[in-house]
Amino acid sequence: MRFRQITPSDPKATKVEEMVDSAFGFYGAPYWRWKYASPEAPPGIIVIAEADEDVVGCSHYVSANYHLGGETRIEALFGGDLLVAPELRRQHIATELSLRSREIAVAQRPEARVVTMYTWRALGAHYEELLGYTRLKPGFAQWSKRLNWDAGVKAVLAGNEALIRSFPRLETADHGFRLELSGSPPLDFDVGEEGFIPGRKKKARVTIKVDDVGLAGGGAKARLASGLLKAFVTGRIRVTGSPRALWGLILVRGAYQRVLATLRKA
Amino acid sequence: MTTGGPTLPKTRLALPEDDAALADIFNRAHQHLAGHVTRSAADLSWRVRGQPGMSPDGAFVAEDEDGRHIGYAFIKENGDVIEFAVDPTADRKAAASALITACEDHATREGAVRMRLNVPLDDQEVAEALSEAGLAAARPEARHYITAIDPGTLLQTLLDQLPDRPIRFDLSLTDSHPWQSSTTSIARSVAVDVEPEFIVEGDQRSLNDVILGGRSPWRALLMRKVRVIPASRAPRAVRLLRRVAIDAPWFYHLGDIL
Repeated sequence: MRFRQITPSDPKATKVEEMVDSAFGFYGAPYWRWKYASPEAPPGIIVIAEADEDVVGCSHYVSANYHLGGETRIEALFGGDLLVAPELRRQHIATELSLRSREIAVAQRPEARVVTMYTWRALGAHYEELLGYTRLKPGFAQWSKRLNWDAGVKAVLAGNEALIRSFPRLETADHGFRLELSGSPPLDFDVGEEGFIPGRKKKARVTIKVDDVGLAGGGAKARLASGLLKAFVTGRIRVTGSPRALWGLILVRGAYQRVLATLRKA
Repeated sequence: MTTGGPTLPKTRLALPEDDAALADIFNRAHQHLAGHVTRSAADLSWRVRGQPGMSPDGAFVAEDEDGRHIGYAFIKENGDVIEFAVDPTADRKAAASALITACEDHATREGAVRMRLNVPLDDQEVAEALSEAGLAAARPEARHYITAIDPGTLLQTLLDQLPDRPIRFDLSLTDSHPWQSSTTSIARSVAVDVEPEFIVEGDQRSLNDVILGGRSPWRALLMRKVRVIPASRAPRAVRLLRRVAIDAPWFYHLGDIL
């Protein structure tokens, strides 16, 4: 396997752009061109991994002068857009690509003092273990608000009513359900043999509090499948009116998963 | 009949000719934070206005009664507020309220299903404005990773930005990579033939933790992650590490995550 730096005008750059586009969707090709190929952008570093002249992986770095608080500044390399062809994953190519591309980037930017990256925790743990990275304490929170709620989210739910209704054991549930998704108006349903019916009249109530991160990352689903009790103890699930509502929730937790998974797509 | 709420500052579209003033607001508002690129008008042009999905009608500036710029926001068609800054000397809550209202109106018109933005944890005034506007904060997520390319060179660079401190010590890296020196002499404001006062020894990750990650040098010493030789110089070494260590909160806008 060969690792080398290319420019955005290199014939192999087209393949890199395709890889990024297929992997990152919304943040794909237009972002790649903006970051690495637009004339106003600071010069980026694009490193490819080649096997038999085919591009099988890519890694990127952008130069930046970081402010570090007060008057302190430092030259940095921001790494990202690391990809390996799907058929070649789980062969440690990404680790090798990370190391080799960092060597190339450091040689290109001798003034740089740190390398940073923004990634998922699972991949970040890999970087901590193998490459000596440190995870920074976050200095910010992400604030959000759901918009066009009625038109968007409820329409998606309505379209999935049949799926939800067909779930077994719903006839045993008899309670109201309020979903408190952070940054959104609460959603109320009656849960029973008819499924999840918008609006709430039943007295016993299950309330589930989910933040946007939990919903987007599938945390809500995981909590319902394996951490129901934990969610109850920590207050993310509240039950009022009758303990039977909690039993109802346990019985139809699969249907709840379906509702939350549907909302995640909205 | 009119209701009696406070009058919010007015907002208008931010034009490219506003960018120098907006960059000045950004730099003053983020002075105490780490991990961002200092803004210039040219930088705003590419980094913010040039981003895919960013249109000129998603750029807003708030002005006070005298027409002075007191804050700005850039929101993309998908509802991502990629940059948001309020003048530290202005009525920050009111300016933030005006800007987030303009952003929400824009995002709703564009059909976005979610509006989101990053806000420093210590920014209570903006947090209050967002909360009143119906936004909610998610749990902070630690997803930003950093490593020194060479801890010795990094330490030297940070020491060079201190106004004083003549000192010499050696830094010994116990797990160096091919591009790193295993031992670096940190000499500053003294002749190179002066013997080092002490040696700081540790592995890459432990040194990263102390210099960049805000971890306590004392704790690193007690946990034997970092050693000072001779041990009697530990207090002096810790004072030095504390002075150069980055303790500002790391912050970046959605638009900074390139």
